[in-house]
Amino acid sequence: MRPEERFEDLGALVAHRGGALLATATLLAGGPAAGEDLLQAALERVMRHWHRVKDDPEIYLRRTIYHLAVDQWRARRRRPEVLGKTETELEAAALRAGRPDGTDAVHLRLALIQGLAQLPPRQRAVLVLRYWEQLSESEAADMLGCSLGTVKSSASRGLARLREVTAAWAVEDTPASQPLVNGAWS
Amino acid sequence: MNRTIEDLLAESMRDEIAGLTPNPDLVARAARRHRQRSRIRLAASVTGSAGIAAAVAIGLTVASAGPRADATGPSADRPGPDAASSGGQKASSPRARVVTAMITSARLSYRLHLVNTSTVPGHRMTPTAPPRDLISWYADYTGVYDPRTSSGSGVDIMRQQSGTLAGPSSYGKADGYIYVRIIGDNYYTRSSSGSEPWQKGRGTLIQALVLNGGSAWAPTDGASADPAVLLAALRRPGSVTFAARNGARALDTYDFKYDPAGDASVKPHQLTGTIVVHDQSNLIARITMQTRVAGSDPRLADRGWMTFRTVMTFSSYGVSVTVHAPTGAVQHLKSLARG
Repeated sequence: MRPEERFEDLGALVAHRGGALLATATLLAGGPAAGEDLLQAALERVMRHWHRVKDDPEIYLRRTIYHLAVDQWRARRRRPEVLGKTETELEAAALRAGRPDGTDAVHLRLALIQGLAQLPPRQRAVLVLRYWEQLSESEAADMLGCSLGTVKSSASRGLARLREVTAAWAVEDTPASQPLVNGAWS
Repeated sequence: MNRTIEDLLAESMRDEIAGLTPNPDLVARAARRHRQRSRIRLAASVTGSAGIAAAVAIGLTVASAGPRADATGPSADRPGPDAASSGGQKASSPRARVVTAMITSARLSYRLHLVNTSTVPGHRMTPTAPPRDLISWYADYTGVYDPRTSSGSGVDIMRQQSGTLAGPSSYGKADGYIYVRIIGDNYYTRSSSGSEPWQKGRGTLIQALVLNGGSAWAPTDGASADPAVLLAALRRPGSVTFAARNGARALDTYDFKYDPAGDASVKPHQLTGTIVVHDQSNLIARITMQTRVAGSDPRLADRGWMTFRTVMTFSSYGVSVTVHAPTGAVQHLKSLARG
């Protein structure tokens, strides 16, 4: 088999699911460029172990993306980009929101995303799995190859940190199980 | 209705990544880098088995490899390459002369300059592009090493791992350095950016250089840390012949050639090279090696050939070498070690 034919399945997978895979990688890596680097690194890893991939390659690729991210992929080589938008983009987004408080809404989302990017890799991965992928705690534990308790504690700490980051928009000391009270978001 | 931070986070994520699409070239790019790294792994295997690391750390085994020789004293009135001396004993053949020179050199510390150029010959960037000798890995390392203590340090000039032999400008720009320390079976590396901690690994100098030449790939098991390989190889069937004598500089040049057996990583191949020896002191001045190999595992080598050429220049014998393990070194990432 010619080299370029060996990974045709991967090419088809990325053609169909590339957007979702890149979205996951972007959230994990902290920015679009770093996300694409992470996705490419995961693809290279999967290619290296292609002979082991017996089942759905997307599952294998996703798992690889998460494992690379949690292994602090390139963490020592570069700081994550700061996700977010420029002031102009914020203003435009606020206008699109069509509300007097639209700017606040955009800024809160921005603060959350930036806070997410600054979490430790495992906490970030758990939050992405739980609230982006919408996986259960046990499914997240399976994906990361860790215990259920690790997922629970990582999620708890991650959310607690995000509450601190977004304190300006929230009622202080909101318990984890309580809604974030802010009429602007109802 | 009030919103929880979980809801807001999910909403923020959806908003942030809306409309992202990967580069259409992403898979092809990954495949290219996969092939390049496969070849680099192959290079590591070849260079390891060919003995570059062996020459760097030659003293690890030569203490028991042969008769003691006078490391610094000039040989007694040696008229020609067939009458080399070793501690007053006449070396009767080019092979014996070379082995003696390696043993002699291994008793002293030295300065080492190592340049490795690995290429993929006749590589076509596209099916219709003209074939070029694509550089797959380039290393330019300068350092000191003391085989008696198995310690050394140096710096590797990082260069772009692309370009061709015909277009050296594409790789001729120094874009950083890798600081290297070798202590026993461990190496420590750190980039010149200074923003990263020292990283620690187990292996040879060549493995340290290979590992830092790019990003996440692993050294192969075939990148042997056994420093006896070259010396043992020169004692096996193969050829060591006298090539030339530079009387003005008192240097003798010997050609060697042998056929390393294949293994799980590489097919059997032939390695050729030259060893230049100081006539009077019996110390090695330079070793040049080259070979052309293919991987025995098509998954690793994509069935392609690659060449490598390594030039090691030895100087400043007896230089002082003091190396300390850096504090705060972290183990290489698991992803690098697993491969």
